[in-house]
Amino acid sequence: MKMKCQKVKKLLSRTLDGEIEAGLKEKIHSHIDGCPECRKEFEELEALKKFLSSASVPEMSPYLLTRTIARLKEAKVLPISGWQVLVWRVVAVVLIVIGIGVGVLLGLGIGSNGEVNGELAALNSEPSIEELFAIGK
Amino acid sequence: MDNEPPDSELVRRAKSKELTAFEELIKRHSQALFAFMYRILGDSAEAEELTQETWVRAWKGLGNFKERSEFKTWLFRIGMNLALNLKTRRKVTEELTEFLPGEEKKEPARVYQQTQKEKVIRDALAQLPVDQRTAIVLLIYERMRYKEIAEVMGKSVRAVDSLLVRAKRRLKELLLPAREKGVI
Repeated sequence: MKMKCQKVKKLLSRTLDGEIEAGLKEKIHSHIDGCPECRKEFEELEALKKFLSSASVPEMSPYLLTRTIARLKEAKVLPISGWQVLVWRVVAVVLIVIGIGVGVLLGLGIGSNGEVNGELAALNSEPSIEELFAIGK
Repeated sequence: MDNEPPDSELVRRAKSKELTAFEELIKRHSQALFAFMYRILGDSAEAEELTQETWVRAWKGLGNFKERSEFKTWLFRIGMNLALNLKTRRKVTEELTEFLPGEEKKEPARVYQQTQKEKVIRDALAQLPVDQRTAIVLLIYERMRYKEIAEVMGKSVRAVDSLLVRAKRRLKELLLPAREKGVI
């Protein structure tokens, strides 16, 4: 059975890029040989690819390699493996938990601090007669 | 050339924090990576900056590279993501006037013809949506298979096929005026 133009046109790009199985490729080329319209489209795609390929390669600066290697050395970074990432995450969680724990304990400590309570007691207590005289002076 | 260790061996050594092995990978792939970045970004200074940044990220993240794909594919994926992030931050309109190295050594008429051709191609590529441009650059200039392009871009092979069909159709339209002028 002969392939229809519509189907062939959809496969022209893949055919040109060699991304099609051999059997189908043969059928497409057989269709192209007998169909001027599809052949024209295929040739245009071929010409486009050839034209794009003719662009020269943008060349990097000769210093790029040196700069890249220097940057890596300056950064003093080392590749981190998957398990190291996991270890760091666990360490981070442990540190956060410890931090929260210490914070809570400190908070409780302030609550039961003698100095603070003493100050409160002084504020609440009534002044002595000597103290009242001293204020009057 | 045959005595050169394959990428996989260099990657294994680099994972053991052997910087010289990673330096070898840098020497091996930097030119291709730079050319890819340049064609995506259209600016050589930015392409160089992001080429360096790609290597730093690759070195840091090497431990997470599972080697399910080629090292180059993985590397280009890092580079592509950096380029896309940059392009998102600033809407690029590439209008390049730079001469490519080596052109000045050729004869003037040939230089002019080649420069015109380069410009036509750059301008046409710059007008493509970035995903179409990335796919066509990887196909034409990196000679990657659809499967590899799909890996770099994090898309299916079918999606890559569709991108390439649209990119080629658009490029044909864009290059038609140059064709009529006889540049092509």
